[in-house]
Amino acid sequence: MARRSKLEIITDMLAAIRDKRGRIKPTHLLYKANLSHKKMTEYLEELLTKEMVKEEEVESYKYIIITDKGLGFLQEIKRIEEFTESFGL
Amino acid sequence: MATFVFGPQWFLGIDSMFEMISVVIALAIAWYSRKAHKLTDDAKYQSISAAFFLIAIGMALKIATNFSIYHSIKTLAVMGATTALSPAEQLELIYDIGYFLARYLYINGLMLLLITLVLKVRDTRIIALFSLFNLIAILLSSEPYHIFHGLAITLLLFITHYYYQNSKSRKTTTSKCVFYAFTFLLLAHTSFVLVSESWRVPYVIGEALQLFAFLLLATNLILIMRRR
Repeated sequence: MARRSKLEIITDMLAAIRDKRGRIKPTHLLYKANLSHKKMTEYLEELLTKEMVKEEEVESYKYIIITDKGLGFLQEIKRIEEFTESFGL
Repeated sequence: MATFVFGPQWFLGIDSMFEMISVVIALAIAWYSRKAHKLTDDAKYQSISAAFFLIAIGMALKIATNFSIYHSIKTLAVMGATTALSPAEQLELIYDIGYFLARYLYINGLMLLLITLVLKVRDTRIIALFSLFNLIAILLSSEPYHIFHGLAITLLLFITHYYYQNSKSRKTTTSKCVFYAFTFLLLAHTSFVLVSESWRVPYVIGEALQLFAFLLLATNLILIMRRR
């Protein structure tokens, strides 16, 4: 299997959160995104900085929640994929 | 003496309007590819952006040259020749420089599409070499009009074949849109090459086909942008 690009990893992470009704526990994300703990922390930091996700505590459990910006990013990636396919890039 | 006007008299200005619409569409595709490049950092989007930007600038220069020629014809008819160059020489100079740049940029746009996207070659030396071939062919030809459209037909044959295969494997509306768009662009240049002093109808047909090709590319972009 080919190595995923940074963009693919970030897209997979955001899609995993979205598919879990917009919020996910960090341990579940680690499993869903198929990443090492170190790598996931690194990418999560970036997503938090870019305000594509936010952290929230619900009943003493930490959750990662996708923001509107994160959902918009996923939508744009979907459009770019279609643009790529239509032009055979 | 060069032929300054390719289409029939009644079509003057309408051709520029058609091309103006195509320029806007080509610029929109260039802008979206640039946006995709910024988001993904993938060089292939930069290539398609540059290709459509060159096509847009080439067409815009053709519009500007046509406008200058029509304007010069009117002005010289009113004022008479008062410059060092005769009116005919002035027009020929505008025509030569304007059309050379327009054709060179447009062909380089098509060439960039073929080399980087269809042939998947990213070596800038190869791109520079092909660009030099285009320069020599367009600059030194005694028939630049026919050489330009001949080159465009050759490049578009390969590009259209690639998009035919792409639409066959993807089977999506958008990939079919791009295939049909390049097919119409190929037909447009085939029509342009048939234009002669005595038969100018193919110019009108070519302009209409070219506009239709760009409208299909716009449809493709709209379909993608409306996706939720």
